[in-house]
Amino acid sequence: MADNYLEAYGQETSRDVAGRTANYFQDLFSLEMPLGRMMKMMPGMVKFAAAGKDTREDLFKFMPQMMPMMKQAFTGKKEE
Amino acid sequence: MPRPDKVAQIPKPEQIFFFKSCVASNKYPGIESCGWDSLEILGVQPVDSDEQTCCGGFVTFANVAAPTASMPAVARNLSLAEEKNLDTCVLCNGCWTFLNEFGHFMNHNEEVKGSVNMMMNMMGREYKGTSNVYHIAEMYYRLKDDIAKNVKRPLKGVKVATHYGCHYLGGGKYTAIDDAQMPTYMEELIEIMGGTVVPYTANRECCGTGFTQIINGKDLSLEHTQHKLDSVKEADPDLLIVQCPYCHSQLDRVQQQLNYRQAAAYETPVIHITQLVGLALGLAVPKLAFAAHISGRKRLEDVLDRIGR
Amino acid sequence: MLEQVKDWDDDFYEKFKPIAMGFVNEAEKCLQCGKCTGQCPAAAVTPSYNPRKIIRDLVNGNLKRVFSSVELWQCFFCSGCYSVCPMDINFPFFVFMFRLAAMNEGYGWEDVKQLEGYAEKDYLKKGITVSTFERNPEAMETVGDISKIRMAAGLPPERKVSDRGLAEINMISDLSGMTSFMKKIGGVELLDCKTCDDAQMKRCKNKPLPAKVGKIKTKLRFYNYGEPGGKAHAEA
Repeated sequence: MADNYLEAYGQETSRDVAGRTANYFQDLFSLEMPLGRMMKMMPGMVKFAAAGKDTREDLFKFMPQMMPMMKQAFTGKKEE
Repeated sequence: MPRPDKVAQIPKPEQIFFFKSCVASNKYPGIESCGWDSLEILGVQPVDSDEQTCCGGFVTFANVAAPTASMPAVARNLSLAEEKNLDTCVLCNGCWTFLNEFGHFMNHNEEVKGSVNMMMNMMGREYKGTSNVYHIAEMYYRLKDDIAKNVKRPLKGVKVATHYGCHYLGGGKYTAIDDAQMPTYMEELIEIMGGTVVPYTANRECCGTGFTQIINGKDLSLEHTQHKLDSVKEADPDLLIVQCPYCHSQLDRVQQQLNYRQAAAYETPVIHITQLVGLALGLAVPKLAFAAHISGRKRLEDVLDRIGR
Repeated sequence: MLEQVKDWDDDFYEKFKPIAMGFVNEAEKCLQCGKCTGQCPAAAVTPSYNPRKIIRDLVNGNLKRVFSSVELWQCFFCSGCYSVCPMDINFPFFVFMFRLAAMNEGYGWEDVKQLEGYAEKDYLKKGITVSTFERNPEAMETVGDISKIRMAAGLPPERKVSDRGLAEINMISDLSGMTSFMKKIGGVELLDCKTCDDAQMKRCKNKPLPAKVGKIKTKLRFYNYGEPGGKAHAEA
């Protein structure tokens, strides 16, 4: 077992760690909506719609707003 | 010294959105009932909503929740007040900083606000950023003339020490009504209600909860709290006033734990500022819910006997 | 093995600032005055904890040392450092952000695991993070039934969040990635003192040690900023 952090990291330098960390935060705080992320949101929305009558109605009201976003996510292009 | 310009900015509304706190509801219900009733007596009608959840500050800063979840949670809770066109009044320092700081961040960051609002729209809500968040202690300071008029049970001869807590003054050093290092507004309130202020050395020190340290690093937490409690014990106040339910829970419960672990004798009653105001405004004793308090129960009864039940 | 200064990533902080959208800023202005450490409640009880050094290492890009440290997890989140800072560095936010980064590196999951219940059982199921449950039997004995006290105070016996409110926070949790994040935490298992081996015992500071379960590999943290002090380690 390593005795200090330098041993624990071995050959890796702080530059490698910095790269990983920057990527992690980039993913975490990204405001873009690629297809993968959209698909990940689906189960939550289905669960919300199933929770009750009023929640379903509110979610359906949102649908027209969502269509262009879906299109954008599928085609990968931004519509003007 | 309180900043007069900041105090003047606090409105004196007819109604206010009463934001309930987790610890206040589930551990010290007196804070909730006294906060509600005292605002009513002072001419501000509190309004609540059962859709209001926890502010989400604990799970966020405990790193249990991804930080991306915190912004929508704050926006949702604030939008409840916005729907009613009211400002928000919170009982807890943590709620105050969390709602204030993250709300401020969203108001100044259109991109984030847009993406949060997309999620809000899905559930038929919208976050506009129009509701200001006020701590109940600063509301009291704004309404201090009304408090002076309505005192029914003067705190004559009661020695009171104060603990301001960290997140109101420290976390909001530009938005709070008082200076972070030498606050005095709670002392002023105590004197208005007829109490005697007892100074002690460790006044501005943290209560020692350390957010998650009471669970993860209990040694550190207890050691710091003991330092604080030693200083309080030296000054020997009848009551220790806090303005944050989380500090309340730490200072109250740790006394018992230290008494058990080290055979110490810490017996200082800790009460929240809402309960002190409720006491002075003459609320009925069950309303104060002192039965939920753990340390210094006997002394609390003595105080009640002295100033009248 | 010795570390060299050229291994540090001194561009990291500049790169990171726009990603964090202005939440974590001003650290490059740090004067190293040490006021933060002077008034820090955590530094008062454990001398190895030092906000000044952590800020210095972040700006210099000595990230290995920060992320693998125990000290990163000793912050009290009291905002006292921010309140005294002449340059308005909001250090608690740094700690918050870099704890996430440290978790990404595989450190600190055992601490977070202990707090998971608050989010899973209380926040998402009831909408209230602190429940009426008492860990301490003595406290329970002294207080008794909290719902009776609530009723005497003129409140409903239990504070309930409406179903609609619960559905909404659950959706927020699902959509913002909190649920999947919590699943990761759920994959961590804690070792107790009976199952830990000699090498782990040697390094143990009376904390539950991490184990590798599922996809998460939790690593052991080190006291990177000096010897731990305080009463707990006074004899050792």
